[in-house]
Amino acid sequence: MNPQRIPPEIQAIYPFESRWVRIDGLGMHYVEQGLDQGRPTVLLLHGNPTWSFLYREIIPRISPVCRAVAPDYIGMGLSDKPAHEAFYTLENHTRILGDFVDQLGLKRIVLVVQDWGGPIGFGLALARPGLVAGMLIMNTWAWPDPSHFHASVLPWRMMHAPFAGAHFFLRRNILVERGLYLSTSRAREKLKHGPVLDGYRLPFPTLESRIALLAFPRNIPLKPGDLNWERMKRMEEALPGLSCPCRLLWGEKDNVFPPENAGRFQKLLPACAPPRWIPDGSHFVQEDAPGEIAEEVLKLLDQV
Amino acid sequence: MTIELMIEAEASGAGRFEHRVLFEQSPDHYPEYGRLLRAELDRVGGDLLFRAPSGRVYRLGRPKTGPDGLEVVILGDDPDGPGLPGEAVDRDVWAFLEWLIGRVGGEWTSADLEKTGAIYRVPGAPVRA
Repeated sequence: MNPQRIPPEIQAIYPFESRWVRIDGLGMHYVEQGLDQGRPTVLLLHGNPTWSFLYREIIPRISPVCRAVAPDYIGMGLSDKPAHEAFYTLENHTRILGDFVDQLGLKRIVLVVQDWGGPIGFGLALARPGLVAGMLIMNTWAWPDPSHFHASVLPWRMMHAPFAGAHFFLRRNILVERGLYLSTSRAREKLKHGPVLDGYRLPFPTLESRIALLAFPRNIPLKPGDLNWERMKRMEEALPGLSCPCRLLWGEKDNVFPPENAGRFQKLLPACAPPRWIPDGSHFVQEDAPGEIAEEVLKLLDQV
Repeated sequence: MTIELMIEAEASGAGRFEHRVLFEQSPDHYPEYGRLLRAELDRVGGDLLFRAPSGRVYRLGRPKTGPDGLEVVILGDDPDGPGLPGEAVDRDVWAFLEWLIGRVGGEWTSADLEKTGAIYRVPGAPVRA
């Protein structure tokens, strides 16, 4: 467990009681708010380099009508952080999320996913037929072929190349220090300095605490034979089997997962509504458009 | 930036304390890096010692503790720290990265390293006017 003290200025904008479950001997942190009121629990999944803090402005907007749960993956947020990079695979994150759902006794959920929350959440949905009652999908992917951004040496592959990644991600934490700023739009100024940036910095104070941040990019397959290529291929093939209602919300200024990705999801998922575009939203759309996301969650809850 | 990375035959006078500055658990994430690093270490028959722009000596080799991989440590006389400002260590690390990427070659170029450093304002990256 990592009962990290949250400084008052961060607690003021993340006013949730920390909770933990133990999985594989590791403490997994989460926050929750609201009662289910006969509705599915809303499970809010973050990506890299974020944690449940990403949903701090969304949870209070939806929790009056549902139970909202936001976990931190192992290695992220206030959860425990094993030292071995090899631990942090898509397979492990997905399996652990399944254990998390079991420990909380969740039988019916609405998934809200962005970035790595997509592949992790879709993996859960496909492994547990009937668990997922609906999905809100935002700025993510679910197929093996990489985005242009992920396939490019400049800057993405250079950033996490051997030893370059050790400097960029582990020594200098650049995905938090600069990546959040570069990949937001409306909310960009909040990611320059101040309590919001400090909130993202909080769980990753040392080189040793940042290993999962570096492992995520190294889990993105680029070509057949790469780690997760087959897993992502099977995921894409299986997604049309998910018949639950789906909504798409997309930050249009995202250069990691461009708007074409939303169209690809629409074709893959039979019960998918047309995307709600956020023209001045970027990759971390939860920072740019928390109000719009909450509206979409509430619409989805009315659908399921 | 001139890369002043001199391979040293021995660490005489460099200090007996080691402070880790880089730790790479997946040198084969891109196999060309792993191949190059193994070849460099095989060539010297063990750990590689180099002198960075600050004048300090570093060791590239297998970690003495913790998970497998490769590490770069700075050698010094101070048991509590490297005895070098963080900015100087960043510049030394950058020189090491330029040396490494220059040797890996192919699609990996120092120019792209520098541009990446500029985009993300990475400490140690050269600042161009």
